Amino acid sequence: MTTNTVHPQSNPASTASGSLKDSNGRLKDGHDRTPGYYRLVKLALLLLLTLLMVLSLLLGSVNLAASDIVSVLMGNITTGTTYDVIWNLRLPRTLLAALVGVHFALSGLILQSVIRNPLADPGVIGVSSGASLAIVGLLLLSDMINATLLKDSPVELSLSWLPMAAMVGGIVISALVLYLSSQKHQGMKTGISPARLALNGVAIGGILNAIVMWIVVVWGGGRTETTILWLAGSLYGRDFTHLFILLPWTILGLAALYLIRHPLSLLRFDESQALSMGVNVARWRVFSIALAVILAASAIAVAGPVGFIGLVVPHLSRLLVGGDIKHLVSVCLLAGGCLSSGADIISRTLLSPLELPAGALTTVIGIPVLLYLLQKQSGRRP
Amino acid sequence: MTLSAENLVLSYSSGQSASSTTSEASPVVSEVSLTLQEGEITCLIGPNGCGKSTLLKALAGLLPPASGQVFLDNRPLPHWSRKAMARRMTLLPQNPVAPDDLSVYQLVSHGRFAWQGLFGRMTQQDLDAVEQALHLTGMDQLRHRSFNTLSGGERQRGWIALALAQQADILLLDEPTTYLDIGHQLEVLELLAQLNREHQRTIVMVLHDINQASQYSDRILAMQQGRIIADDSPVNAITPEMMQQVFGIQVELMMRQQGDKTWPYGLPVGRSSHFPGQDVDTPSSMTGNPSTTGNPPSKTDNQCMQKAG
Repeated sequence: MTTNTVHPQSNPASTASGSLKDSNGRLKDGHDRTPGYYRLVKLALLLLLTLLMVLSLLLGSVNLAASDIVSVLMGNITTGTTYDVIWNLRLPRTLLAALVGVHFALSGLILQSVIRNPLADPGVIGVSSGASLAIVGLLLLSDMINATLLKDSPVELSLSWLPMAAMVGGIVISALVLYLSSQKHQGMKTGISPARLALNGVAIGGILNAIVMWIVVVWGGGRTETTILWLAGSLYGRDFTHLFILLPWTILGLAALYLIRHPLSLLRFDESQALSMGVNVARWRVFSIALAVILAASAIAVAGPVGFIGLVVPHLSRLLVGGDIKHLVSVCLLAGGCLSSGADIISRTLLSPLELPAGALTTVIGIPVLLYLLQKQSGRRP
Repeated sequence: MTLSAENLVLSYSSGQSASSTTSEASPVVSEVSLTLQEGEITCLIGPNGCGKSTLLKALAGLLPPASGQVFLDNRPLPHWSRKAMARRMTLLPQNPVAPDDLSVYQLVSHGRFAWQGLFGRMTQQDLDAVEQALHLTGMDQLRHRSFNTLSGGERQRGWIALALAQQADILLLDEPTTYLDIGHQLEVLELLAQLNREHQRTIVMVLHDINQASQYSDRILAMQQGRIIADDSPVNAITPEMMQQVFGIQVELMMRQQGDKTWPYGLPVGRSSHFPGQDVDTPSSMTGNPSTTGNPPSKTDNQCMQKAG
């Protein structure tokens, strides 16, 4: 039940209530969270995101002059290397990196609220592995059909089908993991224990990833290399096509999340209490989980399963602004964009000209957070 | 025009009774009918596992009955939408858990859900209701504190504030004094009594402490093995025989009086040698002897003693 409250330096008035400080010297209360504080946090994150996006345009294996980049963006240069690199590579990739982070972070926030479990994340509950399997399956199936049945007039599979396939896969597998993790006591669902969820998720994820690898290696053919890179969660070689596949889902997801923010906030309470407060729990639970799957699966369809953003960002956001859902949504959105943009920049500059998958980096950050949360959970009732 | 139950049978598998064939075998609550009076405080008492919490849940519409029905304002509960029901009554469960990192004010604001539209922002009416709830529960000063860092008593007042912000006339509370020390227990009960008296809230609660139930309620429902075996005012319901039958204990009863209110106060003197349900000696009529075994609080004007067994 420990509550972490960040004490910003912006409000000296709060230190007047000295007795409320805990042993770390941080305030135990929320006196410090004035409307100005929330605005400050959001503004800071917005600036950080902008900075990261500018960096993302500047950095890469080809050195480009900043002035040229500005000219390209202003529309003053419409040909040449700078134009091609920015317009076909860096700009779509920059935008996509931010959007993907937004998707995963909001998906994680929704899942943690609905499942009432701090370990919930699209990766942990099986959305990622289910979506991956569905996408790999669909791609290779279309290859096979083209190679055998439609030999003479092969039909290129439209990329816009991938999000749908990912959603179906994500829903099926997350439903399986949630079903396996739910506990029943006297016929009443008593919630999902964090440890069980993590174990089931890791186990099912492990099995599915093995199946995916097997399929890719055995039947992958020409797609093997790109598929393996994609499976690690990478933004390599993404262009505006991918951005426009994702964007409708972003808009849909944000609009839906805005509409369900009140019931979502109440789903964080006991089921009986949420019902007593007037929430149709069963309906909003299904709706919220579906929304989380839509957000995560559509991002996976274009960038692969960039791991653990959905786990890390909501916790980070809670540290910054507490548990109010209204602030959490906007802070998760900004912080998610920052994390994935940052990971993408590092992934392609760290070993330049080689490129790491961004998902490898977020996983390196995410696993310690997961372990820390599990540790913190073990002393707490489920 | 309030909450009533007709031939209520409850079992934990009743939600899936169609698929389960054994659900009829051991209902937790069987054939309970009752009508709650508006503006009264009703206490459900009984031993562990007698079905009192289950009954409370069913009254709150949280547990579909295996058979029978619960009526709110003469309309069966399934005909109510969740939101409309929540504007009329609310239940505070036994161990509510708050989401992490909410301030008291943010927590209490959640009580307004039933009054808000889907797109809703907080209206002036919502803000006023939250203010009033904080004020009535004495949580004004704590509004910006992080809820999960409050003490047990403060947290319970916070939960009651949440229920009040909901502006439901009927409050159902499942053991609202659990885990509180005696001072905070009385603080919570006094608060509920005040809400009943001054704000016309109908209160139904499960209490473990018989004497607190006796002192604070207008009506006692004593349950045993899923049935209501006593349903009356505290004076009439709490008798040595009832205590013997329901809890299997011997009590000495003293009558406490304050103003025009009289209620029995029981002092447990030991486990009964009889098994619950067996015949007990009829208690002698009340005598005027002052009690020598205990020192009841000073407000007592008149003490009587009854001995059972």
